[in-house]
Amino acid sequence: MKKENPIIASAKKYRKWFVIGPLFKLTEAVLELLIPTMMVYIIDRGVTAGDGAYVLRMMPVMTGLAVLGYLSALVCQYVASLSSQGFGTELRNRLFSHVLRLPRKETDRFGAPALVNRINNDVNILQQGVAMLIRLAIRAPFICVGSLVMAALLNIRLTLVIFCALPFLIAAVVLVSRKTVPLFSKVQGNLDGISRISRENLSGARVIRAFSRTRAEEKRFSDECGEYNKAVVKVNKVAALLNPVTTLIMNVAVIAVLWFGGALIGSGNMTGGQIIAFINYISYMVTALLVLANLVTLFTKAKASYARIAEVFAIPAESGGRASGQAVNAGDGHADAADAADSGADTDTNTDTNTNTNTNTNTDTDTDTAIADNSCSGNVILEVSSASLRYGDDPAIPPAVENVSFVMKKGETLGLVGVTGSGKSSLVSLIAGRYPCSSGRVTVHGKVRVAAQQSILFTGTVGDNVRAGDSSVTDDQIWEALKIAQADAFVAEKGGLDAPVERGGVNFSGGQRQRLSVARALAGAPGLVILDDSFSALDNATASKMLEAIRGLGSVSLMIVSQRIGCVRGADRIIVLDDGRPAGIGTHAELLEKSEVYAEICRLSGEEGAEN
Amino acid sequence: MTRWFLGYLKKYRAGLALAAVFAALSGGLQLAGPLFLGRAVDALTGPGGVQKDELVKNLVLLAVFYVAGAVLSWLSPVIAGKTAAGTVTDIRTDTFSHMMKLPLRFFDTRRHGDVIARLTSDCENMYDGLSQSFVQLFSGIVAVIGTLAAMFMISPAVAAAVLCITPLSLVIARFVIMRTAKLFAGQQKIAGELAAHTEEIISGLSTVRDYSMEEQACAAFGEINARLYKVGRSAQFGGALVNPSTRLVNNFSYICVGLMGAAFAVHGITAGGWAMSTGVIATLLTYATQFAKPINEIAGVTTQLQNAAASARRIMDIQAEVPETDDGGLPALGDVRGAIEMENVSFSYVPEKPLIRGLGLSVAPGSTVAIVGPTGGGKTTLVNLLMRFYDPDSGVIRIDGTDVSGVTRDSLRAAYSMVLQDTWLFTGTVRENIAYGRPGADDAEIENAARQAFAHNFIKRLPKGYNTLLTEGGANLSGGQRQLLTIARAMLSPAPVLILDEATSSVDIVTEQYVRRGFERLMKGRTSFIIAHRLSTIRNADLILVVDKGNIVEKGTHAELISAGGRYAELVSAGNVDFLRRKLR
Repeated sequence: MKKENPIIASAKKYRKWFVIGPLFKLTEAVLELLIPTMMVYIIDRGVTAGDGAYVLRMMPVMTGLAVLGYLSALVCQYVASLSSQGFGTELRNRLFSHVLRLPRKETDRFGAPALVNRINNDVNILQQGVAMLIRLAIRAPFICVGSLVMAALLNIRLTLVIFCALPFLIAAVVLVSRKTVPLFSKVQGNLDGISRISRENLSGARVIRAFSRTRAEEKRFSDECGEYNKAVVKVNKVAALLNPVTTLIMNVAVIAVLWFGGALIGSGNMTGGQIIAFINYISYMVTALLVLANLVTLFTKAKASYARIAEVFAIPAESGGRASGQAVNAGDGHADAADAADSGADTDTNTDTNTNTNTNTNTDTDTDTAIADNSCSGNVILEVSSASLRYGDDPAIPPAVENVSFVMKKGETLGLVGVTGSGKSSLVSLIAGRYPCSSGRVTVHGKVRVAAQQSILFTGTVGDNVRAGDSSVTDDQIWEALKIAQADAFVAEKGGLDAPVERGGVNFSGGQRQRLSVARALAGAPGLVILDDSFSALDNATASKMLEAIRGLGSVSLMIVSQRIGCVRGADRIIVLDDGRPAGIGTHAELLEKSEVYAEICRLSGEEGAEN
Repeated sequence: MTRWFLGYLKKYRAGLALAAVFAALSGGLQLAGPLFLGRAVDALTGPGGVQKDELVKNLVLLAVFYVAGAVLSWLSPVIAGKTAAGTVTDIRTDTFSHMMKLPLRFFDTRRHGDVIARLTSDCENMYDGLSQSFVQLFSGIVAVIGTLAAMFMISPAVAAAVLCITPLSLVIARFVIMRTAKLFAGQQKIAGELAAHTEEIISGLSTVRDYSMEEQACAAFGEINARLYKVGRSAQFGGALVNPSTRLVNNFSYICVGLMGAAFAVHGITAGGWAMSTGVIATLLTYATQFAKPINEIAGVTTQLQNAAASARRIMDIQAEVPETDDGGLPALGDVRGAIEMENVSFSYVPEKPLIRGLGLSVAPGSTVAIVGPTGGGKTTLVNLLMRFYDPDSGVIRIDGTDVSGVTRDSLRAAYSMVLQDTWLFTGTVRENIAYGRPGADDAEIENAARQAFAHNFIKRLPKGYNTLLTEGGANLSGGQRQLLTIARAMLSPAPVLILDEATSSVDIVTEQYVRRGFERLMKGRTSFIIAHRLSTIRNADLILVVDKGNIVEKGTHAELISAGGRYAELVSAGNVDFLRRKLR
């Protein structure tokens, strides 16, 4: 199956405009080129031959041509606006929706700022490029060539002057722009530096003052400003050359035309009107050439943007199975059949079923088919068998999770402990389906709702955030979840479920965000709830109240990931991870006996297991 | 604002004057060109046939004017650009230096992105305004007045016609800009909305996917995008009307000049000016085109200058913020042992919401003070006051008996080592980041500090060890690693008083124990303030302060407070007795 280039596809709808727009622009250019020639007739037949009636007759003709040209230009501008904006809008939609479906590994690789940049800036540059393509890309070269042709029609021998000047003109444009492009990128680099130092000084004000480094920071800033200053002055020096130099070359050509023209007039081969028109065409050509130079810069930029966007589209999106928050992965390559089709925002229907089973596996034969055999696994919520996760392809780097196996029953409370870097969050990622298993498999019978380490909230209301896109969750259920998460009091204080959540949840404290994130995990249909280090921003009193309330739910299958032994020690079973490998599974008491790692963590955290 | 701005320009007045003179001259030279061009044409087409001498004379003059014009029209923007860049650099560094003198309140309350924009894009706007508009304004005004005068001299009737027609393009441009300004503002606003949504969703992508909110996010994106399309289409079309419209007007004036000139020539009308000839018509035609250009440019310049003025106002706004009191004349704080006293201290971030009222506290040198209490209770506020990030509204804070408001802030802060929960790293190597508080430290000292902070092991495994470049904010490190680096930083420059504000909150429990031992060694004989959630960290403190709603509600040792059975005992029992244990039984 040949995959369609989504960038081209976004423009497809407008292809007829790509012909119609330039056609009208061409009409305008032709009409514009005619005006100087008409002036020749006016001067030669009117002035020189003394035919006053002819001059008057030409008046409505020329005015008509000018108006006609104007109307053609309007049509072209309208077409350009319509199709470039339409193209940009569609491309933006496709790209955004594609990015949301990229494998986690790839989004990690790009990083959020790079992706945001591509969706906004790069698409805008392409959109602008399309507008320019319609408006100028045809017009500028046409005026260039057209003026030359018109000049040649006036007098072919004099065009030699133009041909002599042309290499100089092109050389001037090329040299100046070749010199300024790297200088401009240096200026941009310095400007980035200024903005970076500003940002660091704003966010680090306390530390900078604590270490009395204010003066050093001022110097760092003014040094960068000095560099920037130098770069700007330099680039300005070169860039300011373009206009005077090209104008000078043009004027020299004009002098040459007058000089050689003198001889032609003397020999009766040319008229005064023709000389004037000739000079006019030269100035048309130079102006168009400068536009062309700008276009080249713009298109170079657009080409880079095109490549950046194409790079994102080149990565196949994940498909299917997302309804449960679980990406079903089937190793490499063959899950992308659907992605070309669903790159538009409108083609997917969210199958929001409450009980579905998803398998996260790497066995290539076992593709997207979920194991939905609830009868034989009715009591089991989660099966992890010999699951491993490797982030990179480098075999020298040990896997983040290695050969972990366990089965979790419905309603069970499972603890997951280990020191930083032991692979707890990686295991959570596998269960949540964020990454495919490198080997082994993870099967979840039901929905997974994770309260992630970082509590991310979205602009909207408290209700929207806790509901998290699941429209089946009722207001009562939301309040219930908020109550359990110890968030009901402050939510009520802020105005209930309709209380606004500002961007990133900045109008809530860290602890409040964490509690809302827990409430989000608890709201909705019971399934597997994972609390990944969800107590770090809470004081002990709040944390234990929350844990107690969750226990009251009973039906919830709960996985608690924490560094605090206190938060997991009473779980039905505890899994200990060490360097990505399982280092014991059992109750608190059992693990104290048989797991050295667990005993060490307990000892160091001052939680002597012996104290009953 | 004008005076403020002129103050900055003062230093560069010579350059500015030179640029203005050059710009005016190059504007004037533009006038001479067409005049001699016309004469040259007449020398070709005059009644006596080609007059070679006259032609040569005029061509040589033309060449001289053209070359001089080119040189001047290069020099004036170069000089103006240099002047503008210098001025803006001065403004930028002044603003930054002023910002560094502002109280911390500024940094805590201002939106950082907005301040950065003022230091970057607003300064750019001023540069553009100054460098480009300046030249264009001067050469433009000279060109417009000169062209008009020349045309009036040659043919008052033609000049009057041009004067009637060409400003039409200005009127049209104004009209279009006014009509589209709202559209452009709307486009900007929606584009901002779209960018914010994109940024929010992409940076929260893992949560979006954990909860299958892709459809919802796409729908919201599509909705904003559709609105952007609607307004963008109209705005772009509106904006694109300006050029063809002015071109139409210019064509009209070109045609008008040509026809009038031709008619005058045919009928021998002078109408108070020169006798029309082909050359004179050529001159007039060039003037007509030349006249339109600066007029359109000046229209653009006005918007640019308005932008620059608005930006200047935004920069002045920062410079108008009241700085901290100047402590240049105060003595520096000498060596201290670390006795801290607070007497009747009151403080609030916002006057309507009093936070700390009449706080009294006395800490013996060398003792460990733990501060506990709920989030937002005022723990960090105490740190802010101790380090004079904020000054109390009333009351006195003393260190070793010296009123802290009587010594320089730098010397007071040098008496503290501080590690905050919010880890701050800057773009630079690991080494530079550790040595931030002591730029002269040698490699052995840095490595030693890193070892004590338990950071040496992971630093060793970084691609370039201590020379690894940290990207902004240390984004290439984990939260725990970042925290260890800031701890190493504090370890490297030990001071008599140590402040640990949730300093190990992102570090795992095992590492924390090692770090704590390092701190204990460091804290021997030092006064230390520890803010922590973990009771294990707090238990051994000499003094525990329970802070709630801005006041110290209890103080004493662990044992005293437990037996008192108050808030602390409640916190401890809540922390120690967790539900899961009860569930097991």
